[in-house]
Amino acid sequence: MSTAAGSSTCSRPGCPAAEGGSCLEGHQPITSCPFYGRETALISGLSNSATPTNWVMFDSGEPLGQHELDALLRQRHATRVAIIGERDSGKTTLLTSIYGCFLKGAFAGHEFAESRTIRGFEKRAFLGRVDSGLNQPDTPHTSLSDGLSYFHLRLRIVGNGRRVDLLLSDRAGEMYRDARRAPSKLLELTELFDADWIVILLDGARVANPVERTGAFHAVRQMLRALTDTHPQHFSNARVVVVTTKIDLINMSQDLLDLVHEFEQNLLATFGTKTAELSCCRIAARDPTGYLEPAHGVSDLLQTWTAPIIIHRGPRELPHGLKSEFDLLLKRTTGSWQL
Amino acid sequence: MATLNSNYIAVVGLHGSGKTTYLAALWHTLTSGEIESELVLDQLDGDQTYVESVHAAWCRCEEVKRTSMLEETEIKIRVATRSAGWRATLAFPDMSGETFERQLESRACTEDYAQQFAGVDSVLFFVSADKQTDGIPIVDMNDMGEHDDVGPVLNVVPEEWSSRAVPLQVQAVELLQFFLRPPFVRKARRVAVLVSAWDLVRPIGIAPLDYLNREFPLLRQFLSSNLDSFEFQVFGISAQGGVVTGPDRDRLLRMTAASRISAVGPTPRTDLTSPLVWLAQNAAPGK
Repeated sequence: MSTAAGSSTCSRPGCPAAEGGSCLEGHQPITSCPFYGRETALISGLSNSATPTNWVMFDSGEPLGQHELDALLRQRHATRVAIIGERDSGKTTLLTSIYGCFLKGAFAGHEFAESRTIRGFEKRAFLGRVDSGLNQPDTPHTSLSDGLSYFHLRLRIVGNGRRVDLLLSDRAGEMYRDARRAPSKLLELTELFDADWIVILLDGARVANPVERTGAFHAVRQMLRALTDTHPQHFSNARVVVVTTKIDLINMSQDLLDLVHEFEQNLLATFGTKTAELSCCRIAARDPTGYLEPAHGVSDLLQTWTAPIIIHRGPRELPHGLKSEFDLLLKRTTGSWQL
Repeated sequence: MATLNSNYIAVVGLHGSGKTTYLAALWHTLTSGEIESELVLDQLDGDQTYVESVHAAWCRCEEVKRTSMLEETEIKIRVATRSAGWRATLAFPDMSGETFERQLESRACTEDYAQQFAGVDSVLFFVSADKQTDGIPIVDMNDMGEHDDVGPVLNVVPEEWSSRAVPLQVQAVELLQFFLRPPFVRKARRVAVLVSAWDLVRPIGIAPLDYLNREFPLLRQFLSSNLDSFEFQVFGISAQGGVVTGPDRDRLLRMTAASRISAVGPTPRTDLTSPLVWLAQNAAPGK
């Protein structure tokens, strides 16, 4: 299947790009959109591709949707990490950099044990490899239409042999921007309510850009405010890490480093008491210059996620206001849910 | 001491990983009596046309033709230990690498394959030392040069991703991961990892497990982290003795056929049949 760059067709229903408008998915340049230049029939033809009846299907290897997620969680416990950040803040790059480290060997005291989403990792890592034909690494943009999906990694902790399943969320950054602007939309972001860890990304490239800097700080601050003000009971139990990405772009200026430090201190002072745990760290998942090692700072983050989880047994707000007989039974028997 | 009986051994490996060449050299090891191997041929069993044909090419120091999907066949060999204390029929399919590449691309296998491999206890898993470095991150290339000399972003259209762009070690892990989930049964299996073209590695003086850790680190991590599913041993095998398609062929032709074959493994007395003995020890009698 090829992408016909320069064509004015778009297979995304309702996208203005087909009439010469801007990309509904927000891709720039527009040719980078997976829907642009494709006939609708071509996309729909994919799902109808005939599989011979005497073939047995394996799992797709793609990021897990709700059905695959439920199937995995029925088999074993997994630590869920909601990685949230606005467009181009580095969510997918963080995911692929963790995967890429294991391609080279043990990482952060962990060894690779399994992944149900290797194909998904590979697709997203491809533009960062020489085989792509690019001379600077790139990462494909997660589309709005992709919805919520999870990447899976099963890791073995070298010291004690314990195996940990990690589920790392992936969703288009535009959804997070919309949710912080209209916090009523937070309920649609189910990953926030299911997460063992919430990771909020501060885009280091925007911090390094004087035009974008204030907006970048504002986006993170407002997201934290939206979470803790709108659902205080739930997020008072949340463990949150604010991660400044692309730190390689900030490291070159002491003034910028001071600004980030000051911002971090303000966040800790303002929101530290409103969450169960709030911390800050800085990473460079993929420094194009090579000054910083690949996945700089990511090892600490990974170790945080795989540390044994302390279960909070305090009262929790029911995420979606469900009031079924099962919810009532849960309340009667445990008293741990507030309906 | 385990008794060898009828043992079905799955043979898994991508295109060019050395499956058929191993079969040809194994046949020579078992039948020639020229090599002090742990196993010898006990008795001819059935039609030997296919194994004789690949052996003939091997004897002439020709490239042993890769198995195509149309030629896939199951081979049965009755073997015994030199003391004849053990006797067994080893059955394994010579499957085309294309079959496994199709699995990766289409994420499916045939019902026949699923049934054949569903309950299998033993896997001969091939990777080749004769490989090109793949999956290189662009930042690693930049890191090799001057830090300040990162070129401008060129306005080029990237290649389109395909499953062929997946690094070999990742493909290898995927093939083994399939065994962990339906249609296969998750159970304890033995995997003998055979690194073919070991003659390319031998001058370095590295042990097979260390080689796997260096060149296929994801595969080594995967195996070490799933010992409840995959008990594994790593062997280095040289079934041809060198590169038969180049000037080295004349040197190989001057050697005795048996001296072209070599193997290294966990014990000093490793030969080409050692992986089969180790795998067969896993199987319960009568399987």
